[in-house]
Amino acid sequence: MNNYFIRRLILIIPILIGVSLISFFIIHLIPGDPARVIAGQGATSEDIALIREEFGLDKPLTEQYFAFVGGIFSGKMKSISSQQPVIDEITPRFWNTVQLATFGIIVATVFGILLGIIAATHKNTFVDNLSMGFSLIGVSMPIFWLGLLLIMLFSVALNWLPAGGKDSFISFILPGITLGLPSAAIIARMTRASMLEIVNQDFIRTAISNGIPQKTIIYKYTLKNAMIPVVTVVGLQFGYMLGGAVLTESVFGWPGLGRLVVQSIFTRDYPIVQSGILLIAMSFVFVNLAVDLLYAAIDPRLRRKK
Amino acid sequence: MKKALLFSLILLFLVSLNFAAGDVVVAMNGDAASLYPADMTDNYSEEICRHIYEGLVEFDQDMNVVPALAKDWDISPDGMKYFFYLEEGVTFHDGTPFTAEAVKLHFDKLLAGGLRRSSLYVPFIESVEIIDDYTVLFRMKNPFGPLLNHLAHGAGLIVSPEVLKNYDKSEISNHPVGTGPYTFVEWAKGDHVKVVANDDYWKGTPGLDSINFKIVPEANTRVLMLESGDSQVSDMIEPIDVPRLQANDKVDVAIVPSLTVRYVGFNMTKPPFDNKLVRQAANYAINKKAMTQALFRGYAHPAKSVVAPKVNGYFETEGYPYNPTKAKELLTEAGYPNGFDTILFAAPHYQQIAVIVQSQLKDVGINAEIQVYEWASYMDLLYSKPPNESEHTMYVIGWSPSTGDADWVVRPLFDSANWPPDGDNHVGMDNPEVDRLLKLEMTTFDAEKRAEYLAELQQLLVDEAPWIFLYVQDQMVGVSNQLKDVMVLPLGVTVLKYAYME
Amino acid sequence: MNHNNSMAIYWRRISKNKMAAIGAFIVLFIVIIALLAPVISPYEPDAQDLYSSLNGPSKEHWFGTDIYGRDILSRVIWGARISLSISSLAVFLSILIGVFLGAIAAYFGGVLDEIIMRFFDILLSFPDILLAIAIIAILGSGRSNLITAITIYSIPQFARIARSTVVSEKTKEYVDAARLSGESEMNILFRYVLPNSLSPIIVQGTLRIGYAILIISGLGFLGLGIQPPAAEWGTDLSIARTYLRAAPHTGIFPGIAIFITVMGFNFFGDGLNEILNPRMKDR
Repeated sequence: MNNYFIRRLILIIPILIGVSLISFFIIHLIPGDPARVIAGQGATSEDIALIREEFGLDKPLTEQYFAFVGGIFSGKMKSISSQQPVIDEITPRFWNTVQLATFGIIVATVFGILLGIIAATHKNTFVDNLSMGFSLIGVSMPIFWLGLLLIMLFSVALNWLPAGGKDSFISFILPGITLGLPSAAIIARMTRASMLEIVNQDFIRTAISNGIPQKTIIYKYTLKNAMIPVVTVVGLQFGYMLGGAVLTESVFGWPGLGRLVVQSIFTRDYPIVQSGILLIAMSFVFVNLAVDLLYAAIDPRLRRKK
Repeated sequence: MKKALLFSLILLFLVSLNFAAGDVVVAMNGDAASLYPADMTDNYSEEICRHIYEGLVEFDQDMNVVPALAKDWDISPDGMKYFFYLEEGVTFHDGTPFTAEAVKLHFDKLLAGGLRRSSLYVPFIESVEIIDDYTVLFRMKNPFGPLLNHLAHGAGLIVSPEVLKNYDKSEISNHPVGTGPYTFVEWAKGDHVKVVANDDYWKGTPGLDSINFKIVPEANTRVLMLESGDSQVSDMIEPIDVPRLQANDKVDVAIVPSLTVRYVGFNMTKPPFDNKLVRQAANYAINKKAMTQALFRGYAHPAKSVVAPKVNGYFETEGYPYNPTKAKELLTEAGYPNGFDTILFAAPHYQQIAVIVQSQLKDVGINAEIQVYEWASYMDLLYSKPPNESEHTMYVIGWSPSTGDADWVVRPLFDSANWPPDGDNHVGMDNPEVDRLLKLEMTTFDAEKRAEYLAELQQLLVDEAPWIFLYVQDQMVGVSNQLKDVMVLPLGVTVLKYAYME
Repeated sequence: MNHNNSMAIYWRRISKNKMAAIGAFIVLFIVIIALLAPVISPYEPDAQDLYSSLNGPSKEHWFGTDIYGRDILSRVIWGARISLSISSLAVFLSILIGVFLGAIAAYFGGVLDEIIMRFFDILLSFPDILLAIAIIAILGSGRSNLITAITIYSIPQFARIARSTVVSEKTKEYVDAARLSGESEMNILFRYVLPNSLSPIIVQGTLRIGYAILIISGLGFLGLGIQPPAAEWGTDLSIARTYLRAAPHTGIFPGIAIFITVMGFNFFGDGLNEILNPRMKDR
């Protein structure tokens, strides 16, 4: 267990270095000059040279890479377009994304597990097919289209909920559902599969033959054990949401990190893109790590192996 | 418990009441890049800055230059000296008095170079001198007709000398202190900028308690906010939403012609577009009326010059009416009876125009393949090399003179000295007659004479057809009809400086 | 193994499995529409009529017209061609590359395995849509670049499947037997070991096509899809977004097309999974 923990932690280091390298070189591979974009139409070549110099864009790539790594640790790196410290630009946006992802994962978990339980307890009946069909529909919906449909219904036609922005709690509802629904579908399928697997295991069969009431079996024995792989899936989905919310953020004008990174790719704001992608990838890696460790900690089989 | 509930209900009521009194929400399309006027290049920044700061002069609704912090001015007959007489008793939000020194400091920073708007002043202004506390002299390098327009430009908004002395350029943006009717409160990046009324404003208490500039990138959302009363002003309304808003008795739509001419540029240095007949043929091939009808529901007008009608110095030519037969004749005359293949470049937000242009060019035999580049790559395509070395052929783009004067169109775009990478002449215009007229308009101080040169120049440019002249679009801003005296400048900037709630 | 016979068994299983049957039907339907597009589409997909822009559904235009006055039904029909061809080609390519890399990584193990798999770990720690956006930004938009972007992102999935099969199979007796009988290592790997991963790859490939269609339309929605005026569902949806209120039909139909197609592949892939891995059946 300890070995496993240490091995996982050490493995993270090369991944992070790789991620920082890739996020750095990807943005520099893209044609286009940030100085030109910022200077705008009507700029002279001196204006542009000045911006390039100010942000060290005239230096060799390797030097720029180490400046980027140094900038991460010193916190002094600045956005090219706003000239503000990257950390001040990214932190509030990341926080907005975390809030949305948290709301999204709550939606996904509640709906997903409920649907999964209903399907598992009605195995191979119409209800089961219906819930699993529903969950397949959930993963087949283009997320931006789902968002647009929800806006059309709840904002345009009914005028119940805001179509975008982040103001109060109610502005979380539509983007949260949009973000959470596909994950709910995945969690539902996992819950169902996991519960059915547990039901087939010996201790449940024993419990059934001992005449313990079905409800108790479902909720006390099966669900508890079935939740272990579900926790993993929930964790992974949360990781995806932190980084994969670009489309949802774009549909709802949510001031999140994903949207900032995409906008900054378009303006070639290298420091923001590099740091933003790194942060997203890092949080994904760490969520994964946390899930793995949690899994190792709660899974009795893994414990027994040790 | 019940008491607490009642109390909080009353409080809530009071808060919401207070909110309704004069707190205005402006839904803007994008976030400001900088709140240091001399260092900003975008409309969003300018829109906010025009509430916090003021310049010596400013634009009125029709783009006339009117007094602001300078109550009056004198210009020497040769156009080489400008004397500005300043308003007295004006103070910045930080308490610093507004004097000639503040003016000098602001412009000295610009003239020293290194700011994103330095190039608006460096080529013309020799120096700024203090005559006395309330008189400033601008000494010119050469006579320059539209200097007042350049001073009314957003970059001429004057920053408190204390701020300029104490902060470096990127920090100034976080400490916006001017003399304007509204004082800066906070800037939540990507979300909103808030300003409140400056009760000591020298022209009297402002009409609103506060203004919250909210960033709402979706046009749909901006309209919804206006209709539900969540915003009192919504910038950049889609034409298709206008009829519905006009039918709404709580909302007005301000429809103001913009200064932007949208066009398809030709790379004139390479065949087939080095041939004037081909360029003219392409102009006749486009049905601008049908295009604007579909895209803007009629809220746009065919362009008949390289500048828009509201721009100082505009001259209206015949333009190129839709005439596909004539287009085919010209193509035959030019030696392309069967048309030719080419590439039409576009940035994502010009995609719709490109799709229509492509389809109509196809009807006269010009087969253009559309290639969409996202903005940064697009700028690279047009600006990184001189046109004769660049691969661009036809490309959709637009130009808006932020000074409101024709000079800021014709000189950057067509002066043979301004080929990329040093300037904006990406069509590769290199015409001695154009250069001669440009020199004349730039150095002529007499307004009438200058207008003649500009007219001659515009006629010549339309004949030369460096572009397919497309259209000048109206800009539409939705305004709650409780809000009065909102100025929608043709620049693309909405100003609530003089606005009040009814 | 009698090939025809086993096909027949699978086919019988598919028709018994409701989900697989529905999925197969939908996929077949979309494929036929794509193939017959020139015949069945009522108009040219890029024929404009600027004066009848954004008209609602009518007898002439069943799905209405878009901002350019183009027939939306025709564009939805032609859009099937683009989505299907790009996604299936990309998935095919990523299977080839992914299986090859995953197989050699597992078979030869050691440093090679570490390098290849760690690289995929890094690749997978980027959110898919961001990675696709970055690749498109580097290469520029357009059909072949879209295929490249989706291929790159799908490779690790298949590499992992191939790797896990090879890892579990390579110690089995038949491998040693083959080696003793003088078969070359490459032969053993590709003729004996790899075919064991066929069914999970088919399942994953089917699901992945559906996912690729979602990514293509997502990129199109962000304005990074294929070059106009080609008919692509996501691109058409992104234009429709501006006119949601006044002309909702412009957004409804392309969305339904994406949804149904992706759902078809998901049902089919899911059903296949149950058929090809019968031990799952009981669950």
